[in-house]
Amino acid sequence: MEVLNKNDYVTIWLDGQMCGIPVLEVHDVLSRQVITKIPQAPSAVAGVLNLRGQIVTAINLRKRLSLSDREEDAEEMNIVVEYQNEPYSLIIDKVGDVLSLSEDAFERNPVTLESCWQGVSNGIYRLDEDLLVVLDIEKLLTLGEAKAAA
Amino acid sequence: MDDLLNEFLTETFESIEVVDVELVELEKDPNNKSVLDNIFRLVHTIKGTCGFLGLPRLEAVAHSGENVLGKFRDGEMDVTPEAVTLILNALDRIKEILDGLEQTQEEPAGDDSEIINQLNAMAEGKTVAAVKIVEPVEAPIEVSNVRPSVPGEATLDELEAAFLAAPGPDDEELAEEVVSGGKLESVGGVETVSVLSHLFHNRISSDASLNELLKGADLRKSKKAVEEFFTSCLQNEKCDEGLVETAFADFINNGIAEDQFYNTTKHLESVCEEVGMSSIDAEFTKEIYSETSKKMLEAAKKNIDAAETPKKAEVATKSGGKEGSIANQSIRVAVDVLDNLMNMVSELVLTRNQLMQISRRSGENEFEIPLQRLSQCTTELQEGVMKTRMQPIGNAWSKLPRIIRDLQMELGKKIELQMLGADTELDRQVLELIKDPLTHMIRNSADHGVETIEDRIAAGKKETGTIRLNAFHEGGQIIIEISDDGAGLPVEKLKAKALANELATEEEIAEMSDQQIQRFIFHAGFSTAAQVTSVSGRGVGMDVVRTNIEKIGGTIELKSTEGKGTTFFIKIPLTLAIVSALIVESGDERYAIPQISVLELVRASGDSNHNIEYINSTPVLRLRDRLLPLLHLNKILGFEEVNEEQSGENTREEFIIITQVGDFTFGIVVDQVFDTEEIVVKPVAPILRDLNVFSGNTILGDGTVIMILDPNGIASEANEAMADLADQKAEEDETNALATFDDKEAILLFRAGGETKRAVPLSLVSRLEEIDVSKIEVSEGNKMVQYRGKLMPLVLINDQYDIKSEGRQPMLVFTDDDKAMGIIVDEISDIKEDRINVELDSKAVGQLGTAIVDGIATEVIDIAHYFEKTFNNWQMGMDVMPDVVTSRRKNILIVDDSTFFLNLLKPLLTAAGYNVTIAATASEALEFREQGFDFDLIVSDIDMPEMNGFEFAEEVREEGIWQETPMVALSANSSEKRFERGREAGFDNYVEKLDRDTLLKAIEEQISDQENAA
Repeated sequence: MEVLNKNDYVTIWLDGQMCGIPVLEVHDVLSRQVITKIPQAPSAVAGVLNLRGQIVTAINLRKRLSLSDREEDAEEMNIVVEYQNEPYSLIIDKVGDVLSLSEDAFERNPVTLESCWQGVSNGIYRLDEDLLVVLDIEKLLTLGEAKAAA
Repeated sequence: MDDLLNEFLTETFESIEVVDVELVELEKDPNNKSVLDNIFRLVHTIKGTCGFLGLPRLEAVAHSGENVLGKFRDGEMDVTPEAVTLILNALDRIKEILDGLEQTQEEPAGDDSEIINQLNAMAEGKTVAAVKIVEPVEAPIEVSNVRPSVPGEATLDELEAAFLAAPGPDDEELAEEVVSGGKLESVGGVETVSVLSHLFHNRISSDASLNELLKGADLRKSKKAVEEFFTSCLQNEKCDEGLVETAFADFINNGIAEDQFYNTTKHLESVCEEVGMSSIDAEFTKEIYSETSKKMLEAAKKNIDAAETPKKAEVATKSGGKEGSIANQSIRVAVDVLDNLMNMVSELVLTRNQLMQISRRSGENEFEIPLQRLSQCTTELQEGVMKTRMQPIGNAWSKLPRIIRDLQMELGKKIELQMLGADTELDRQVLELIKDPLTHMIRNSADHGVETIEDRIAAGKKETGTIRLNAFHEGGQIIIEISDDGAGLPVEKLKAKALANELATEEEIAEMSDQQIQRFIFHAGFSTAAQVTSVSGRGVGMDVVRTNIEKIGGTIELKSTEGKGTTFFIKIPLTLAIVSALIVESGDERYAIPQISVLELVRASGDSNHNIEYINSTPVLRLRDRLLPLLHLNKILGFEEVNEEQSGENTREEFIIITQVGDFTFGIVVDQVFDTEEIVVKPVAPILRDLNVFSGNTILGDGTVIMILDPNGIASEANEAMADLADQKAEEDETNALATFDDKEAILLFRAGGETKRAVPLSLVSRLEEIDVSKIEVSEGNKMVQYRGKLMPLVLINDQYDIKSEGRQPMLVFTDDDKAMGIIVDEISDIKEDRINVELDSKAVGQLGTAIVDGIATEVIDIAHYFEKTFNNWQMGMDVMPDVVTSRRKNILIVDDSTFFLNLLKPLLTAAGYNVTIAATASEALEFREQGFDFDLIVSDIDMPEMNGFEFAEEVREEGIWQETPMVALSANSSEKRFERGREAGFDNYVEKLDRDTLLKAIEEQISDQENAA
């Protein structure tokens, strides 16, 4: 069972790209939330939100991955993960399925992948129609020092 | 057994702490009977419990200690510093053993015979001879009629009083030597016993828990019987069993229970004491009484067998040795239970707030009344829980008298410790956190602060130094003052130390106020003690203190006058969990400001008394004859917002929150102020910890998350000059600034040809113009334009760049004396305050390199190049500088570690008609001297690595061919003090960096002076 779980991913969409987050890391999936902006914070930090009395830091994954901004009224969802005992909410376009993927379809990142993607991805799964980029929570939540100092 | 042991440990540790304090107290005031009694009681309890638990080592040490204390109590021995030290040592030994016990659950092995022998020797009156301890200031004390009264020693009168009080035949009597004539004589005869019996009965009948014993008894008869019993026992020195039943007939008839018996023993003990029986005799009396217990209890049992069994069983279990009544009034609760409770209550408060808000919004409804009730209960609950966590600050101080006493001995100083406001209460979490810093600071005050006796006398002070601790509430905070009347902080020493530790440059120090310099003691690795003593001086002190205090949201300030003393002010919040905060709005978001940092609120608008005024676009506020600097929260938080009020119209209403950070008071301008709310401070996520304008975040009643502003952070964020108040970031910046030419300056950003951003320091630009391209004329292949009645050459950024064929184009005008040139650009984008750090050198013509300006890679253009290009051409063609060309070109040496700056200066001076030689370091410049190069003038930077400008100037003036060469200092910072310093070092003039006109004028002046002199 555990082996199976390890390769279960929640698929998410970001600017047309399918990505996967290990299902065991996902605590919550939320619709659009009221977010309090934090001035002076790194640009990837969208702000903080209240999740059942707990303060959650929201990360705008599009910004984090240097993608174009989402349109104003476009769909937006939150995936709540925990990193070092702190809850973080990843803001994404939409959530897909939970997929169980086999190791055979796994590939390492192509060397030509853009560096900002290289930095957060653990590898790629070849699916029938799409490619799924596996996102690493720890890497996603380690913002560059330069950005953090802003 | 474990529980029992644990309880014993906690209790004993507490007792010992009390004894520590009280002993020091006793030393000061040897006649304080109640203190002595208390000590004796505590030590006795320790001894008793040890025996009960089977801890022989502890018991032996405690017993010997008790012996000495007994002598004190009976007035057989003076309370001398030596004796107190010895007992303190014994207590330390007990602590050691207890520590071992705590870790291993077993009494650690060890030999206490030395200390026990010392104690016994002391008790036997052999006094100090056997005891080698650090001698205090005073000589050992001998009993004689003429001697000064010193603390720790009884005066003759007092002694006499003590002798009189002591009932023994005479004061040389030692308990062990009591003669076989019976103890009766030694306790003071039949009379004493009858008094004893009388008092004993009085006590019992007035004690609510015991008066049943004497119900229906004939008091007089009972008294007589008890008296007889004791008399007979004392005479025979053993318990007279036959008499027990008659003597205590009433007790037995009424059915004495075990705990009652214990209580009567206590009464007997205190009565013995009062009638002045020596401890040994009292002990003996008590023993007799104890021995009767069995009989009494047995007899009593017989009497009341059936009826009262349940009651007895209940009380009998408590006979461990504690007064039942007191023990029942308090319970021990593990701290984490309380912490947990506090957290839950915090959450409850939040939820309550949320509910209240919802109810308020929906107008009148049926929930209102129950909610009101809930609200009240919650508030009370919150207060109640807070109270359980509140502890008097005296708890954190309890160790201090002992520490000071030991330090006095060790350092040979006389110090009086005054503690005021010890009952000021604060949260135990906060208390724990300030305990160590406080102890450390007291040690510091004693070691560094208070001088030695000789020094104090020499300084005309009284011998005894005073360290005063004062705690009180003020505005929702606890303020702790720690002041000493010692030597104060030596500013000069601190300066030297700061220099040695490279915390600041000489120049920076020269500009600092004494108070700023004194603040250096809060830096790591900073100790003013010339020698490391065992007490302090290792330099890991005050910075840790500061960090610890700041960690709990407190601040520490100091005020010190050399020769007069030092006072530290520590401000700490009452509690960490719940704070009251003011909710404000700025840039459409709400923020919380902790109420404690808000001094007052001011509403400013066009029609009110208060108005925001501007000094060169710096907002200020007049408030009761003071001018307060203002900060716009919008600006600090980086909201780009046009300030309408800055344009002169003060129609909009604004709110100003007056805040104080350290000694610095300022106003924060916000758009809107809402009400105050109780908030629970929660820390921000680790990725946001770098933001120093926020101290945390919280959830408001309506469920939104808001950020909590940190006034400290705001002050430092807004202005680095303010930051020396406390901020570390600023300190880092300072150090950075030393290494390179790194000051912020205004940079003009523009575009010319393509999208590449280009930049030039604004100070080099004289004017920004816009010209009509049709006005551009061409002469000898050079583009030029008529500008202010003269022809001005125009320069293109590079060959590929083309001017538009029609319309208007922006132009940057650079001038030098009467020479001017224009650079045509596409667009002038912005002016930014930033540092120019050329990160990539460029080989491209006309570029210094690439720098990051405002987060974007920007090409910094080389004005030098364009000047040279234009004016060499220009000169050849037009010959506009006859004066320079005709006279000999003067040689100038520029010394500056910043290549960027050299690159700016060189063309400037070259263009002004000088031959320029450059050197990147002072040593490089000195090499030129060795090689025999002669210059007409030397321009030198001040802030350089290795050898700074001042040192360089001194070196130049000392010897060699440049002794007479005029020198001009160049620095980003040209204050009066530095100017003076520059003159002393040998500079003839001092010019601010980037002030071209003054620099050129200064150079000209110096050179002409030199020529005239020659």
